Amino acid sequence: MTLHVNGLSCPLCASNVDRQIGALPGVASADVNFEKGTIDLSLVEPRPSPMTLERAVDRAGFTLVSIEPR
Amino acid sequence: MQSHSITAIIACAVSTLPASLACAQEALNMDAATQPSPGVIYLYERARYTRYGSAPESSDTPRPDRTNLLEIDTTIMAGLATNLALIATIPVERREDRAGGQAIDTNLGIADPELLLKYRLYKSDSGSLDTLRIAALFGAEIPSGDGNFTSGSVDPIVGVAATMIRGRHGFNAAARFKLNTGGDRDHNLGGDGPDDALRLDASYLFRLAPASWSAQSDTALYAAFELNTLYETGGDTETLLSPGLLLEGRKWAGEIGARIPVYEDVRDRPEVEWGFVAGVRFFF
Repeated sequence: MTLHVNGLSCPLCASNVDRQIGALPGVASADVNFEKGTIDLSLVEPRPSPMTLERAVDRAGFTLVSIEPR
Repeated sequence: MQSHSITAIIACAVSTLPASLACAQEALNMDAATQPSPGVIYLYERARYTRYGSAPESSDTPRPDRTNLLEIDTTIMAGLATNLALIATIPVERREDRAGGQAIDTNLGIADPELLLKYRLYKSDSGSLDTLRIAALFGAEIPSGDGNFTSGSVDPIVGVAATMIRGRHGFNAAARFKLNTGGDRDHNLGGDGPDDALRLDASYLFRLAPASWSAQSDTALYAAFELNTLYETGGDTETLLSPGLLLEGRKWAGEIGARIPVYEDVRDRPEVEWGFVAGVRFFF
């Protein structure tokens, strides 16, 4: 699953995303790609809901634009 | 050396540990509208050396013709909620007054700690890299109890900061007002005397590298240019130009810069001659 996120303007602030999304049950890893403005997620069951992901991105201080299933 | 409290020495030792904080394209000497998310802690260690010129006639006798000030600030910023962060700063200072080429008074101690809340008022993420944020600051400087470095009073602080990032370009603007309810003129080196203090800051940061992000990018180097103005209600006004460099990774950042006066109309305290600043920031 890939999250398209706005506002990922620097490496250090992206660590907030790692922390908030990485802490969600069902997220095995989160990989930020600054070039594309995306976060690639490796998920395990039970997977987090889109609403949970949106809340986590918001808590990190950024804006979720869309979710792309892999 | 007149002041050598154990707490000052401990704080000084702690402040030499590798530590720190950083968010986005923050400048070195001013507030920004960036903050850690809930549960995240940044630690920021900043050393600032400033050389001041001669003190005004009304000061201590003998009158210093130069003052050297080394400040080591330890700042912890903790995300409390999505839009709220706590910022605590403990400053350790070493002040040396000189006259005729000799030190006439040297003190080491803890200046007044600062406790602030930062609340994000506005956020607009308009692109994958682009954002505009505005935050309010409110809190106070509280007495350290160290006679040589404290104002002895609780001084309320309010402020506002805006940060805009457009690709490689970052802009910050900030205003901060401190209501000084204590303080004395003879120990004031800017903003800590009996007059209230208004700081007006602006900065531009340019991402030198990488020019474009790649999938492997995880560090960035920025050039920073700041204008930092301090106005005290007694009339003293000083503007410093602060060029610097900021290197930022995923869990840390390092920064270095100079401080050069570009406008000075100061009568009640020594003028800044020059200074430099270096800092490290770490993410926990």
